[in-house]
Amino acid sequence: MVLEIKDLHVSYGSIEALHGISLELDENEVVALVGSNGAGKTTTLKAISGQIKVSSGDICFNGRSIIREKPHKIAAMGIVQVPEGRKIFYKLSVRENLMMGAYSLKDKEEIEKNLNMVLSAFPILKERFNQSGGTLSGGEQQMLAVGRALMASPKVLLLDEPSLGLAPLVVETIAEKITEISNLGIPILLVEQNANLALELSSRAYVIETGNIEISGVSDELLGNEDIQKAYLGIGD
Amino acid sequence: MYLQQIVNGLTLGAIYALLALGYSMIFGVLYFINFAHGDIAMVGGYVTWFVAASLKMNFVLAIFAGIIVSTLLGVAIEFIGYRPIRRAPKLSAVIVSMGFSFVLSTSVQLIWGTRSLSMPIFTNVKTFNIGSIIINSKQIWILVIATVIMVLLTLLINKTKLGMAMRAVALDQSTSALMGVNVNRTISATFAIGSALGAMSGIMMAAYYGVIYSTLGGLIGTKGFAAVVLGGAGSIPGAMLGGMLIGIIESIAGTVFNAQVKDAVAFVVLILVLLFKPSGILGKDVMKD
Ligand SMILES: Nc1ncnc2c1ncn2[C@@H]1O[C@H](COP(=O)(O)OP(=O)(O)OP(=O)(O)O)[C@@H](O)[C@H]1O
Ligand SMILES: [Mg+2]
Repeated sequence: MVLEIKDLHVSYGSIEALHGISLELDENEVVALVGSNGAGKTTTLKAISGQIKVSSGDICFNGRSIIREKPHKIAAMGIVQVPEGRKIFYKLSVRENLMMGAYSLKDKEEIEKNLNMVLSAFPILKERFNQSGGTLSGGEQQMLAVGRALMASPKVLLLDEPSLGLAPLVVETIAEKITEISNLGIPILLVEQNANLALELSSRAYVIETGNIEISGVSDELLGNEDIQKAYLGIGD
Repeated sequence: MYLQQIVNGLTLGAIYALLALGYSMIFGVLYFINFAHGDIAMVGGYVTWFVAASLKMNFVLAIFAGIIVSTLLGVAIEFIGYRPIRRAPKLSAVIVSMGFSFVLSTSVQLIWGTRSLSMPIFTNVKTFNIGSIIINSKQIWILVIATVIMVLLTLLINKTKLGMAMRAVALDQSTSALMGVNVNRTISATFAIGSALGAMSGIMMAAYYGVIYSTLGGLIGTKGFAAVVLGGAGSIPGAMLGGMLIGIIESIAGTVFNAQVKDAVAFVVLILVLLFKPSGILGKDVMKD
């Protein structure tokens, strides 16, 4: 198992946001974590990346517990997150944003190879190469955020709502890229409010509601089950 | 006449600019003004004086000793004083920095006394006449060294991986950490570089006037702070520009009015900028956070 979350509890101050969630991600999988506003999706990703303290439970990467590691150490292991709201360094150029993605890499050739790969996957970034990140459109920024993550030679990719606030056409592009990245053999944990999209892209999915995993299963089956859709996913009527 | 004041002003301005750079870099990553910065610079001057005048060692060695002590001091103050309260309101850090300022100037008084000490660097000063302008070898040294340092700093910040990490941390600490940046270490590096620049400023100030005294930190601290506010807090070119402008304004005011007015000019500039353009000439909008 690449990533394994066991009975994870996380609190903000005295308020518990995750009440013991468990989740697994294996090689060559795209796993979706879907749920509505405030369900605890971002909190889960923050716990994996070490940005927030875990009160109990465990998170293992290739069998090794990482809950005591610092965020920059976790990133250096290859656990790479595309954060909610993209978080582009708005004053840094597109080139520098991409180089920040490769910050943990030492091998110049590997960085060069990743850069070529990212620029051919997202040709728009090549056009905007020396522009500052803040001047990019929302869709371009999302591509930059994904490209920046790919620069790190990720061993696991965590995507937090990559479709949020994007036009349908851009969402389609991003969706295609997610499939392409998965085909490269990078396991992906895809967090989405857009359950339809997430279930289409993933092989398995977990549904999270107010800090608990309510259901999990094969994505196609969840997509086909109208009761589940009505109760948890707010789609299909 | 004015040309002469501009040469004198540029020399002073270069010294203020070096100090302002440290203030501004630290402001850039932590969003507060480190009021201990002028005193860290002053300690650099004292250590240089001690090694050169008391221990009678080589000047260059003395200068390096001053820089090293200030650098370690800056990093230690961040570690002990600011890191534990990084998430507290910025006013807490400002107050702690004032505490450190007081501790440093008092410690220097306890160790080396309250009298002015003469700085033995540049003992045989040559003077050159270029047309109507008189420039001496002190001024040339200060201008050359300060320019080289500023060019190197600009390259460091814009062209190196450390510089890129410093700019990224200034924009967004948690996303920088997600990229694999050790944020604490980057902040330490910022304090180290800023304090080393401060030491250069303190040493140059003492060498230029030929004396060092315990309130020098407060004095140049004010000039450096005014330069940062004028140039725009958090901006590297702003700090350089602000420093140069304060130096020139001061130097001209010193002849137009009198020498006593000179030290008050920085305050006047400070007040005017805060009233009419609080973000400074090249600064980011401080109020946004
Ligand atoms: N910094 C914080 N301090 C206190 N409570 C927080 C904080 N961040 C999140 N929470 C709370 O934790 C719960 C889970 O939030 P989280 O951001 O993980 O939700 P989410 O599933 O990502 O939602 P969204 O789809 O809106 O992004 C919510 O009740 C939220 O109010
Ligand atoms: Mg979220």
